[in-house]
Amino acid sequence: MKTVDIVERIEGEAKLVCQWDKKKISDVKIQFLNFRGFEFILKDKPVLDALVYTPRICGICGQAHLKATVEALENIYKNHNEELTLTNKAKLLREIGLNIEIIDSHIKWFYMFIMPDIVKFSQNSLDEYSPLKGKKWLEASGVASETIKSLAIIGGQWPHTSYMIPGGVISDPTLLDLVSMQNYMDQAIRFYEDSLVGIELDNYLDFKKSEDLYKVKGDLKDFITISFENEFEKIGKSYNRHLVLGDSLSFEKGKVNRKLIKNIDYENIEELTINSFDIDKSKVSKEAYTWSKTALYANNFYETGPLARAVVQDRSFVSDVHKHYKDSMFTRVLARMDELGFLLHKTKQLIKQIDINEESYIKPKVSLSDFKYGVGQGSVEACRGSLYHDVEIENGKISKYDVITPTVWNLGPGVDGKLSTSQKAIVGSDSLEKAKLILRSFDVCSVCTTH
Amino acid sequence: MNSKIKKPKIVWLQAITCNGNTHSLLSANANRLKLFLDSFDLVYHPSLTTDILLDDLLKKEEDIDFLLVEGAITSNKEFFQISDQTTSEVLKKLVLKSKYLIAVGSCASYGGVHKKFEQNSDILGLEEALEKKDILSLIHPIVNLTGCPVHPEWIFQTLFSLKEYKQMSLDEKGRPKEIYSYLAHHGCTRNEYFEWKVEAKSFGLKEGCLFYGQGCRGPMTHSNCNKILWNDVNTKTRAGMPCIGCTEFDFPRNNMLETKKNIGIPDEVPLGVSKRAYLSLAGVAKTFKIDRLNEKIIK
Amino acid sequence: MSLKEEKKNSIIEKSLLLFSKKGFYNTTIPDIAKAMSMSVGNMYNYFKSKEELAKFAIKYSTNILANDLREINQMEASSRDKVFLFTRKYLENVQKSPEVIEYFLRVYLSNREVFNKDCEGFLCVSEFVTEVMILLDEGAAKEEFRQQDFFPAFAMIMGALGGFAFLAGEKVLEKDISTYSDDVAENIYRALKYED
Repeated sequence: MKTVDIVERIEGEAKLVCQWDKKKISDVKIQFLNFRGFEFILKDKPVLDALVYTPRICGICGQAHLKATVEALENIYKNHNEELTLTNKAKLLREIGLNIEIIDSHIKWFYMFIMPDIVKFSQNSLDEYSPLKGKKWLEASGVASETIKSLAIIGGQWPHTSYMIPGGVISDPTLLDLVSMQNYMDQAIRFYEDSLVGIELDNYLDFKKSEDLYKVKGDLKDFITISFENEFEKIGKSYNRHLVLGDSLSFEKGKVNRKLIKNIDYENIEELTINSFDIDKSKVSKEAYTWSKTALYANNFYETGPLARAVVQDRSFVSDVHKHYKDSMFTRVLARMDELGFLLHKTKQLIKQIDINEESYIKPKVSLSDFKYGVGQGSVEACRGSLYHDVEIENGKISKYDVITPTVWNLGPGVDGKLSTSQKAIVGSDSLEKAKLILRSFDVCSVCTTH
Repeated sequence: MNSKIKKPKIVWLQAITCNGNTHSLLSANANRLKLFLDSFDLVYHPSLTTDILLDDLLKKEEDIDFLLVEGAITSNKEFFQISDQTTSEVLKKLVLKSKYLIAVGSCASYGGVHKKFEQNSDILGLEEALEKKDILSLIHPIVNLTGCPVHPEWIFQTLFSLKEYKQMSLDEKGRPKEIYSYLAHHGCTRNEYFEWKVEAKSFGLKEGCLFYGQGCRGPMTHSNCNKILWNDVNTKTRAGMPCIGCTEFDFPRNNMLETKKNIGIPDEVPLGVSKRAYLSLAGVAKTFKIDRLNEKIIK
Repeated sequence: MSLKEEKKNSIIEKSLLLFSKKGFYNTTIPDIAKAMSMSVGNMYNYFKSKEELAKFAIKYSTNILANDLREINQMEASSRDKVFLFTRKYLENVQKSPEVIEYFLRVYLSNREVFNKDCEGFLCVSEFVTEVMILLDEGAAKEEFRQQDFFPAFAMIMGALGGFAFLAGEKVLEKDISTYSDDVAENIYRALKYED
């Protein structure tokens, strides 16, 4: 038996095509049927215009694309032995901006993109989580829109600013601006403490064992309770391989495939189109079923995202939950909400480290247009996982631009008989609703996937 | 709120888009968003509502008061489909049930960023994608809220005023006059630098006008960003990023982060100002070096 | 133009001739008044001081050039043609009214102390500079002129023309000044022209 269902509320939509055998999903294909062609749009455009285009790949994670672009462009300078100097202030302002975007995304994701589906599994009606009307939905929406203001202080606006450029950032905040940003972080922390986990942030960040789950109160407790009632800690497990490409002040790069390796080599990244659609029809196989490509690291499927970050960085609480419940749907969601607390704390610290007397921007001595030819790569940790940009330029124009988004890592099509990360997680599910939940647990961004 | 008065029904459609307009809406001032949700019935939004899928919506007979579309339209099914149909098919079905049609953002207004995908020659804004027979049910011309993304207040003010006054004054491009008659330049905190032609020496400074070197399109761009501010707190030009003219129909352009000059003279000068007038004034202003304006604001 | 302004211009025209014959410093307000058949008192109704007259004179002389160049700028013609036309017009002015260009070269450029208050920078020559900017802007926009900084381009034009006016003033030219027009224009054009 086959079922075909459209899944919405994943920053776009996808089609879930399931094969059923004895009331369990025996095979699944996730189809992304929308293609906007950014890699083609970018071709032949003046190099720095990439800073305006790439944030527009995605409305919720645009600043991650911006940071990946600016780092890839700066990498071009490095490959030409003209490495740019960035002040600490510039580096901090970039990372703080990205973190704020992640914080905003996680808050919205929990209350808008997954809790409405989780509460359906509860005995209670839990009206407060109702989209658009429920008290908790509205409160979360309000906190997200307040928090994002702190990014607007340094970027001018959100969504869509290009405040990061090769050499630094375009803004020069005052100390009062930084204090205001800290205020916004404090407001978000208050929300985290009062509504989401029900305990003080410092106490939460002290959690070390999975037993500490029982200390959680608030909305996250609703999630935990419903999960255990429905055995979500047993479903959604995949290869349990984790990948973090981006290195920063907040996260550490590395991969876990049975054991942790901290070294990342971009040469191990492979993008395949065996089961993907292509503009060049002659290259499309009969088996192609989605516009998403496949991404492999060292020939394997990996998961990327908050869980991967927590595992690679070995954050005690999530690591212990992971030890008990592996890469189940439960662990994945918990890791994301844990990351929210982690980032709130971390970002506040980062803001305090800024020395406003440093320069925001140091003009590069040469322009990228002066290079006859150049290549560069950049990877950042975006809301949903590792984001990778690879750019080639010639005579001041972009000759090639490749983007691999987190959702491609997680939800790209399997190849050569091997299931992809999300396919493996879904196969074996005994209900369509659970399959959709597992899909959502990856925090899918459909528009990014196919760009 | 008189609950006897039925709330106007809104359907939000996402076509070829990055969803930026949705996230701009969600980032609106919380009180404004709450009033909006209380005053209108948001029947369907592909990122927010859970009780109905697009497929179900298309099958329902119900009328729609306001159809809000985010994203460009195509009839090419291979490149883009939603709910097993093309965005063009879905759009036309929904428009036939609607009284007002609002293009939310530059992509829906004229194609925006996505029009640059030349491998599909059929990427259009709403106006171009619809024929006369498709819009027979509309009781008002299509409203184009250009912007990349749109400002949430432009959506709220448009909907609230159409709800109250039933019609809205639009410019020759279909944009609400009261929003788009202003220029992004109006209200920028760097205006004094513009007046005295003090160029920003580089990016990353509080001082200086971004018009001369950094490509700021503020004086040529219709929007009221610097009047109402973004996210309640700021704008790009105030922060130090040039306006890239995203509400204009030629966005995106080339070399958006630098000013096009011809032998040192800006290729384009403020809207409606002749080049002769601009250069005469610029020449005089440049002659006088105002010390205060050439120093740091905060010493 | 009002009667007063017309009268002012006549005074300037006469003054320039006197400056040319007697020298700027040797010419006094009474000298000018006598040449205009006006009383000195009446002169002060038009110009409060010789300094004021001097500054007005520079605006007057450059405005002649500005008007000529504005007319040429507004024509439907290639930028190359405009360079040739303006060069011709400029040299015609040098021939017809040498006292005007002489005043600019030998009084304005050489006596900064007279002009450095209220005539700083381009202030008193701005109308003419604006027209040169428009010529360059249009030329570069049409890709007839190549991209470069404004000042070298400006100096190229003014240097070539001013230098030639100087030679004419020194009376060293062998032929009639207008016969050199196309050569001078060609030099200016080649210096500015677009290269692929």
